Amino acid sequence: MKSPLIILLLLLFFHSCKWNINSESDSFRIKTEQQKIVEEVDGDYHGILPYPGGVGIRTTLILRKDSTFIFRTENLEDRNIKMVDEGIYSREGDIIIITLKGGEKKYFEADNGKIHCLNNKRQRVDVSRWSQYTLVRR
Amino acid sequence: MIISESEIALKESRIKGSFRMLLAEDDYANAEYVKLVVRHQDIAVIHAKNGAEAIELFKNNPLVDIVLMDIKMPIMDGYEATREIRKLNQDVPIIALTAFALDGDKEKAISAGCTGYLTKPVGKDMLLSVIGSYLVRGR
Repeated sequence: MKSPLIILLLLLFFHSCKWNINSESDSFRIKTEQQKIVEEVDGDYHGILPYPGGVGIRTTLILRKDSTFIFRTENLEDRNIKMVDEGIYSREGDIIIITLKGGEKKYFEADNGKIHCLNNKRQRVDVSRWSQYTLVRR
Repeated sequence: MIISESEIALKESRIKGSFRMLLAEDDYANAEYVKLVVRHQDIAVIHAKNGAEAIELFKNNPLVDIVLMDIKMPIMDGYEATREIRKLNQDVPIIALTAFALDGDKEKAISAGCTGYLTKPVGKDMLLSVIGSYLVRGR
């Protein structure tokens, strides 16, 4: 009577060990994939964002592997008008979120070496009118 | 580098404390431009994308020094939003910002409760001059 019980306990033990190994393996895989995602977006992104009646705003977003960012904007009509914001960015899938001085959040969407500016509803800015509202990695 | 009188006045006035602007503008490109120009002057910007949001943000930020109100916005236009804000505050300067250049628009904005009027596209000098004149007057 005892031996089937021992066998059952041994089977349960081995199954548990296997599950733990799989679980650790999954955890490692997820961490590696997350690392890969972060590595994919780091870089310097540049673009000139137009606005009605003006030359545009030269915009640079630098995303580093350590999750820090530098966001530079410069009015091309008057280059004295420029802002630099720095901080830590966060990610939700392809969405990159940065917080500017004063607390304003800005949203971008990573897309194969490009970053699209998003509005606060996290939708791409009307591309039919403003196709250049995209920053390109150099 | 030429600094306009309004910029000097803004810099001097800021010694007494920083300014806060409520910007009601649904157009992303226009909003980005205005935010860059005024943030460069150390004016903090609270951005609403329609009239209804502007009213909510105004209620939540009663210390706003000036409102820049686009007229043509979804959900609630700038005229209606201005009338609602005026029910809450009679003194805050509200500058209408519109692409319309038709006769009567200025009068319509003023009768809704706006204190000033700017026609888009607004240049940096004109924008700072008008904002500066109201902010300095208020301090």
